[in-house]
Amino acid sequence: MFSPRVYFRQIETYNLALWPLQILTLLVGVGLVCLLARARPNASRIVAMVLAALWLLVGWAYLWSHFSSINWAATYAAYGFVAQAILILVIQVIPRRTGASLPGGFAGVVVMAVAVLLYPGLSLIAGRGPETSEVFGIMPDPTAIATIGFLASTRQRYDVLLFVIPTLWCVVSTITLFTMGDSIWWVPLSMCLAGLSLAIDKRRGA
Amino acid sequence: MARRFSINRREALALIAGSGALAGFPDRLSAQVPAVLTRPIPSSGEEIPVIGLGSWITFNVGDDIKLQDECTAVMQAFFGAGGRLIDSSPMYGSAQKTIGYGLEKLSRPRTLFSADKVWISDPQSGREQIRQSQGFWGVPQFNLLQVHNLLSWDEHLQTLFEMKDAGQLTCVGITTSEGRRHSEIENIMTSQPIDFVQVTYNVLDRDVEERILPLATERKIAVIVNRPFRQGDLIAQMADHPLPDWVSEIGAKTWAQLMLKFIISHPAVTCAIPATANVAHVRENMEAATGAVMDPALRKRTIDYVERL
Repeated sequence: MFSPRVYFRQIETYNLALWPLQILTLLVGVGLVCLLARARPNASRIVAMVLAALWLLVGWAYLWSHFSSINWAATYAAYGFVAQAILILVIQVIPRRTGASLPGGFAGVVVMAVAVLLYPGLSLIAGRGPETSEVFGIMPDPTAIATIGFLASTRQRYDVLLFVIPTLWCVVSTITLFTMGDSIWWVPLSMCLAGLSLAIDKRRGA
Repeated sequence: MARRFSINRREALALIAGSGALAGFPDRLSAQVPAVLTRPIPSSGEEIPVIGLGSWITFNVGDDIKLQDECTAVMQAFFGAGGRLIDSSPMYGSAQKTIGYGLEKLSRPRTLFSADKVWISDPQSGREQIRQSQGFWGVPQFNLLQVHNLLSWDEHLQTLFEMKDAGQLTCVGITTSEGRRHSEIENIMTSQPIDFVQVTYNVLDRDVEERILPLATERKIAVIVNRPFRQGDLIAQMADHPLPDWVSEIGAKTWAQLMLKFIISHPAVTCAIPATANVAHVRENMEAATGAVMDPALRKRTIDYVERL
C-alpha cells in the first residue's frame, strides 16, 4: 500500500517533529524498568499508569496523526491503542489490589529493558540511520513489546486481556516490515513471542 | 486498432499555460506533445493513449510536500509525453490527494482522463465516497468510475449508471487484480452495460486472454490493464537478463518498454497503467506508446523468451 521509502521517511519526519521528546520517553522507560526491577510497592500500578499514557500518546500522535495518512487501517489501530490504554487503567491501575511480582518475573523486566534500550538501535542495524529510530513511548513496536515484558513480570486479575492488542500489533508490524522487505522484519514478532513464552512459563509456575 | 494521439490547439495551449505556473518544477511541458498510440473507448469512440498512469503505492505519500512535488513532476512528465488517463482509488491511501495536489500545481491539464473507483462495502455510502474523491482530485466529475475489486458491485453499479444517465459521469467500469473472481467479472461483462473492465495482464499473467479479453471485444468494453510489471517484480526479475535482439524491430529499448509493448499489442487492450514515482520511468513507459507494436508472431516469441528466463 505504501513504499518503504515513504514509510521510513514518515517516521523520520515524525521523529523530527517530536524531538527531543524521545530523550524524555527513553528516560521514563529506564525509570520504569528500574522501578519494576526493584519490585517496590505499587511499582506495577505506577508502571501501568505511565504505560497507559504512552499507549494513548502513540495511538494519537503516530497512528492517528501520521501513519493513517498512508494507511487507512492505522485509524482502526489507533482505536486499538486507546482501548489498550483504557484496559490497562481498568485492569492494572484502578483495582485496589496492586499487581504482584511474579517469581522469576525479572526475565520480563529484561524484555522491557531490551525494548526501551536496544530497540531504537535496530534502525542502525537495518542500515537506515538514527533518524528512523523507533523509541519507546514514541513508536508502537517498542511500546507494545515493553508492555508485554511488563505483563510477563507481574500478575493481576484479568491481565491476560492486556496481551491481546500488543501481540496483534507485533504481528501487524512484522507483516508490514516483511512486505516491505526490511531486514529486521522478524524482530517485533520474535520479541513478542519471547515475552509471551516467558509470561506463560512464569504463570504456570506461579 | 491503435491510432495516433492528437490534441487540438486549445488543449496544447492549456498544457503549455499549465507549465508556466510550475516554478520550481524543472521539466516544463513542451509545446511539442509527442504523438502516442491511442485506442478508442468502444462505447464512446473517445481516443485515449495506450499508456496511462497508475497510483497504487507510488502516489501514497501522505502529507509529505517533497514527495508530493516529486509525484507532481511525474504527472508533469506524463502529460508532457502525451499521457491522459490517471487511475486511482479511495483504497490507495493518500494517492487521490496527491493527484489533486499535482493537478492543481499543473493548472489542471484539460487533457486529463480521470479514472477513479468506488470502494466501500455500504452501498448507501457510495455517492458520499465519490463526492469525497472528487474533492481530493479537485475535479467536477470523473471521466470513469469503476467498482473496485467488485466490492458491493451490484448496488454500486446501479449508482454509477444513474450518475452516467444524469450526465455526472462519462464511463462506468469494474476492476479486479491478480486474477481474482474472473468468472464473476465475465458475468458482469455479459449482463451489465459497462464501458470499462480493469484486469491484471502481463507477459506472465495471461489468464485473461482465454475469456475476458475476447469477451471485452465482443461486448465492446474497453480494457485497462493493471500490474503490467507485477508491481516491479517482473522488471527486477528480468534486469539481469539481456533483452532479446529483436526488440529494436518494435523500438523498445528496455525491459519495461518490451513488457508494455507486449500488453498494448493485444487488440482488446485499451490502456495499460504502470505506476511509478520516478520521472525517468514515466518517460520510459510513455515511449512504449510510440513506434511499432508487436505482431502475433513477435508476441509468441516474447512469451517464449521470458518464460525461458
